[in-house]
Amino acid sequence: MLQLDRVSKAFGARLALDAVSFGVRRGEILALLGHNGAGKSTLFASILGLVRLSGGDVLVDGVSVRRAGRRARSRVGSVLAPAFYEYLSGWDNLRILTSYSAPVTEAEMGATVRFVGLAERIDDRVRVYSHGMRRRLALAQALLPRPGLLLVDEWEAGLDPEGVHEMRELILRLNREHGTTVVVSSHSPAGVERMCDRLAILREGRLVFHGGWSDLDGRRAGVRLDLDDWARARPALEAAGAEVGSDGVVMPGPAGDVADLVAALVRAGVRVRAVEPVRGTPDERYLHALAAAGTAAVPRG
Amino acid sequence: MTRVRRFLRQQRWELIKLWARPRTYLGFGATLLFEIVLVSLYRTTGLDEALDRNYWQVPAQLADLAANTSGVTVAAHVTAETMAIMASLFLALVAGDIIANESEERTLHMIFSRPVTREAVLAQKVIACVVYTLLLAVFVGATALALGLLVDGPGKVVVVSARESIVGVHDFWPGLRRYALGIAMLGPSWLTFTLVAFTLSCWRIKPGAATVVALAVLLGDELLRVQPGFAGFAPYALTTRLLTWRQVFGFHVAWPRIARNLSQLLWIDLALIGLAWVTFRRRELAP
Repeated sequence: MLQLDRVSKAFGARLALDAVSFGVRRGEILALLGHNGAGKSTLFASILGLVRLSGGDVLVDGVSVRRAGRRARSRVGSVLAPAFYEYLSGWDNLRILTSYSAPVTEAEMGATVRFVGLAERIDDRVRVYSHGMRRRLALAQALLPRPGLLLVDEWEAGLDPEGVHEMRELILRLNREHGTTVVVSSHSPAGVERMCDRLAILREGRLVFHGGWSDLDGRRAGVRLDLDDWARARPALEAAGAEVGSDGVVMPGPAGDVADLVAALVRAGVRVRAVEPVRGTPDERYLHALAAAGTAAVPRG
Repeated sequence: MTRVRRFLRQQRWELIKLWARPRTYLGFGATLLFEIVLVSLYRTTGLDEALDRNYWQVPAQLADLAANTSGVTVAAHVTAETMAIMASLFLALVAGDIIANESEERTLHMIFSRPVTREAVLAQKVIACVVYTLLLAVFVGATALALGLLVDGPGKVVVVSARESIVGVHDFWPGLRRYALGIAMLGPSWLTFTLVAFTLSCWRIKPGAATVVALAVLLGDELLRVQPGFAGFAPYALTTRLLTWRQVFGFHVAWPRIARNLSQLLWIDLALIGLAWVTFRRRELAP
């Protein structure tokens, strides 16, 4: 659905995006993660043609943003930082923004407004909307007309926990019920773990990871061992290249896996009573991927 | 839906957006208020005294006529003053704001995230500026005439300006026709000033800065035009051309001069729109 091919963008001497390449499959939800300033918003702006690419190209459903930006954008809905005509109603804002795209009937608009849960306040001026309501309105305009690809920038920004939950449910419903491909950007891995199939991580404009959560787990999968003799076990594990934590969690070395560790323990005469896989928190795995980016190759799906 | 219909639909919303903002219609209220103040001043001080203090130089032999001014005479003066002082402010405010404000508020990002070309949006904004300028000019001319007639009634129409080489004394109906012709030229003339502010608005600039710079251009141009030391500048001044509409009040209308000035303004308009287009299409909307 979306293919980025060595997308680069420089603002003066600063390289905001450095040859970023990855794809988003039709019908999936992909999280675009990165710290502030990593290039997430610039990447969205590049996809939408708000900034000119310094290099590479973006294909939306096979249509080049560089060569046919308008046609490419006709397949994309975007939720950027909410910005509306404050002195007009939510409904009028929707009518204004939809006037720039394919025709949308009032019935479609009404259904979308109900979908995002804004039906009761849609005739109020945007000036009196809360941040959460503005986010809903931003989502509504992005869905009119129904896009094949939805980009949601900083999807949880400014929302309270209830708002985050509701926004997540809306995005999941869109994906499930309409098959909409979604890319959400965030700097909070925990917030997107339950929502996204795959993720891409940007660091200083470079793609440092692209793949599924399990691929990210692979970088940080450890095991909690229940052993009868830690004094004998520790040298055996370290000799096998493992990293032994104080909490009984053991991380296999780069070349080894859990089976190698168990074999090393058995050879050392240690009884292994239980082996429990341990996953780091999403934040830990994300930070590890970022840290590893500078020193080692990371999987790219 | 055809491209034309889509464009018209977008244009309609552009105008609705324009008219939904208070500063747009406040311009009409402010110019009307300013005209009322001017007419009141003329009533209390006498138009000839007021004219003597201003740049309208009344030759002695016309003083008697000027003293018996009609509503149309008052309207001609009030319109000129109101356009230069009050309407110019709102033209700069509206046109200087029309893109710069949308950029600052980031609504421009929302628009350009949609399948629309920059050329189409630019054209809609230009048309909105044209509509506003023409409407404000007609409003100023019509209300000045209504106020003038209300206060002074019909009579001789006297318009004299040494600087612009205009001497005109007309009966009421011919004078009124010339006034109508002048008002028809007023909007198209002032459109050039609106487009100065509009072009500035297309740059990466604060809305207030676009307005202030446009007004500074107008003020600087006018000061140079009226300074005796810069007499050589007057033929090249923008304000000389903005005042073209008053040429219709001369005994003998200088049509070649009017045609030359208006065509020069048209070329400036086209150049400004071209500059705005080049600026706008290259502009990046940074995230």
